[in-house]
Amino acid sequence: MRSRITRDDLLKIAALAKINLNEQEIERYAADLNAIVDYAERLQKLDVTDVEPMISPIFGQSSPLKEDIVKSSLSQADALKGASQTESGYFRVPKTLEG
Amino acid sequence: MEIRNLSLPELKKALDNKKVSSSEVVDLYIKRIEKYNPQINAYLHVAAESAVKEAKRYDELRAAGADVPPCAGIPVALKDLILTKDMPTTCASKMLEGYYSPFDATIVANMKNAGYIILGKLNMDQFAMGSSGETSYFQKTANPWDITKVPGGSSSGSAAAMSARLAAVTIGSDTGGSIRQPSGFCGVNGFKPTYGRVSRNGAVSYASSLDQLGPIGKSVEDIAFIMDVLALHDPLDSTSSADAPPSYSENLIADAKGLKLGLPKCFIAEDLTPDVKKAIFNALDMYKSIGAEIVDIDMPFIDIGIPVYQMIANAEASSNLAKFDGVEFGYRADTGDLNDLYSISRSDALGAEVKKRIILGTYILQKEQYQDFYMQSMKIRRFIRRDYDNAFRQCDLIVGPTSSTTAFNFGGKSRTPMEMYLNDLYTISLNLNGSCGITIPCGFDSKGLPVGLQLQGNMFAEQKVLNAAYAFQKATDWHARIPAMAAK
Repeated sequence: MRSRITRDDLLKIAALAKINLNEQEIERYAADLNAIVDYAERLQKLDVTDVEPMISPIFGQSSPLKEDIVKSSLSQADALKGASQTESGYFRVPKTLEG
Repeated sequence: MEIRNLSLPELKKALDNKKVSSSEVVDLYIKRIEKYNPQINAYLHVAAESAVKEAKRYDELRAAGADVPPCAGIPVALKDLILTKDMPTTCASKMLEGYYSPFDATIVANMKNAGYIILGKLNMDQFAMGSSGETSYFQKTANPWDITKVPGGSSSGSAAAMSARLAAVTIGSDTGGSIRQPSGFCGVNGFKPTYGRVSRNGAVSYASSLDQLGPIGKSVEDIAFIMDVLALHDPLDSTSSADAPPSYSENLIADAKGLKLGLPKCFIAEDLTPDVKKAIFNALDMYKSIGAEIVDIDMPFIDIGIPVYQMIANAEASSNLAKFDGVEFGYRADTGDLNDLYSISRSDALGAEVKKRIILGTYILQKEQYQDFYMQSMKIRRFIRRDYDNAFRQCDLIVGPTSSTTAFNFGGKSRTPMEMYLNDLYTISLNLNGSCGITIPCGFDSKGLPVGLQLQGNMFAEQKVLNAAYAFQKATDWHARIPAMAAK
């Protein structure tokens, strides 16, 4: 049996997912996640030796490639339209490097 | 002539023959939305102004004897995860409140080119995560048959609006049953096409190896009619099938003679409520009476589909939803730190169910769990495909209920997460396989709530599924039963 997802585990995963959790969420999510993961333990009982993973329902059958022709796509203005902060045609974010 | 009860081919004919104008049709639906939407909250955005303008334009073209597109003037409404240039797309989340896409989804462009008029955008479970419609940030859609019940989800607004006749046809999306389950709960017809049959360019992704867009309609005839516009190859979607489909509406034949319907043992499971079971067996008897044969089949891996789906869908979701970080679009937290900008924006603006699924997906994709959960699930998914391949050697279509119960009360399944997820047993295996299926109304429970019959087909067997469903509707009138608010 896999070890339970602890409070520390949950906080580590949430940080990876860039999600902050309050006390109430920590408690609820830990319980829910453990319930789901416990349920999923039954997956381990099946022997999948030499089974090819099914990545997509049509993998290797369809997925035609487009011809490599340069075409116009979204304009810079359109691409930036949804952002709440832009500057000189760029998405603006807070400063990431000191100095 | 009751416009709202006309089939799409009849409506097209009435518009072509000028028995009714596009403006009359659009006005009727806008009036119906004004009157009934406050009771069921199916719409998040009503594009009344643009719809009226578009209708008028088609009327003028028709009056002048000019050419109009084949479906000019037919009003359609869209699940609010389908991008539209001229109306907001929110995915029913605070994250995308007020967001306008810079482009139309391919199916929106195709429908507009064909003459469809977009009436508005429909409520849904937030980012399509939910089975009851209750995870929407904005409002809870109610079931038109009984407004104390959920409409199902995640295409809650699409099914409820169709049931209440607040559009001529609607579009939903189906990742694990999100078209079929709410259509079953609301007593309408919901079609999940084969993966690759309908372009997903411009549909906000949940789980990319499972997601599919599809129509919800009054009848199988309407589904076939609009599928002719939806099922076009799209070079902008790399999963879009390059094979041109035949015209589903022209090839629609009511023929169940010699049809072999496979009934998997696991589809008559213990949790199936007696009323649902009874309606399903009555439907099977009806099929027998019109020449079909019911064969018992065994699909031993359907049950394991629930955790397989959980792992794959959430892993893909955690990756797909990483783009909502406050920078390029949507909600942005006010902070001077980049890491805070990401995490506070996401924490403030994503709903509880969405956050939970992202965190679960992130857990599954960690290197310690990746092999055991994610890779293991993709391998077991192959067993589910083999179950389907075996089944279709013994039968033409798989038959069963759409869900184990009829529509439940608000808050009725939110106690434990597994309780809600187990409800998807009848629908998710089809998404894992990738093939097509439909739900059609087949009766009612003792409380008068609709029961859905599900037919599942093989990859690209759309016509076979539609013809079998059509045969049922030619022999019965369950699809013509409508809730009180649609009857007036």
